[in-house]
Amino acid sequence: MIVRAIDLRNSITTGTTCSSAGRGDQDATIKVADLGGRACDVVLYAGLQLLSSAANGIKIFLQANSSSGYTTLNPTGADLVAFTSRACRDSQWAQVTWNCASATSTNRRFYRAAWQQTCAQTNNWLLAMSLGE
Amino acid sequence: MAIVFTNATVLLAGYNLTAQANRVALEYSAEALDNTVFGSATRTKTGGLKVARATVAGFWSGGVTGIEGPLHDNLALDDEVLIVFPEAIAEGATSTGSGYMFKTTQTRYRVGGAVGDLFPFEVDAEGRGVQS
Repeated sequence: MIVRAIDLRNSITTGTTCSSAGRGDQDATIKVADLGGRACDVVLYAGLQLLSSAANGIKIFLQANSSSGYTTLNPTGADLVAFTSRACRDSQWAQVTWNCASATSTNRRFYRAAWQQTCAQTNNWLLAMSLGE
Repeated sequence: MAIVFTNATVLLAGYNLTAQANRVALEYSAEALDNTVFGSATRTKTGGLKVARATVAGFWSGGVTGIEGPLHDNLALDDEVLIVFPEAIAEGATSTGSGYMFKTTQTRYRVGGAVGDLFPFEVDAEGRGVQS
């Protein structure tokens, strides 16, 4: 299966901002993808390319937020995927679980990449997600 | 609107092949199963299993920073992620900068050319099917 994808975070050339606390919330350049109201049982996928990383590694997250988006009252959203922490080249894949049995009244709508790493280190990576099948 | 295919990004198994690649092809196909029965005037078909594969080609490079090492060593490894963006990447955008991705097994690595050529490489990858 090939899925259509969009890029949530491309830090291949720019390196990353230190965000060991807050999972990237303080990064003003972070981009949020609006996929509209997402019904339950729509399968999404996430693909991570870790092109280089420092000794202490990096952990990448795919986060989602409700229809109100990333606001000061809800700056973090929910972790849908927590990729395995790595300190080497790697690619990882995840199926995003969002089935009707676990659905809440608020549809997932806004998606973004977040990360945890040691300060002053540089990790180059790209996180993409599918647009649904 | 058409795009001029000059700014693709190709990522495979944690390696950015963009600077070495000059050709990429994704093929997503489905089998057409013959369900023709007696009394039919024409053959009829129904959709079957899907197949995904990709080919990336470009200019070979060796050494520690070259592409030879990973492409040679990753042959037959499962669950490599291939991501292709046909045009410039736009973070978070759903209208531009979109591309394709799938989980693959690298099935072929080929090098070699004629005298005077820029030494080429070509790598094939096939979809792993179930994507969980």
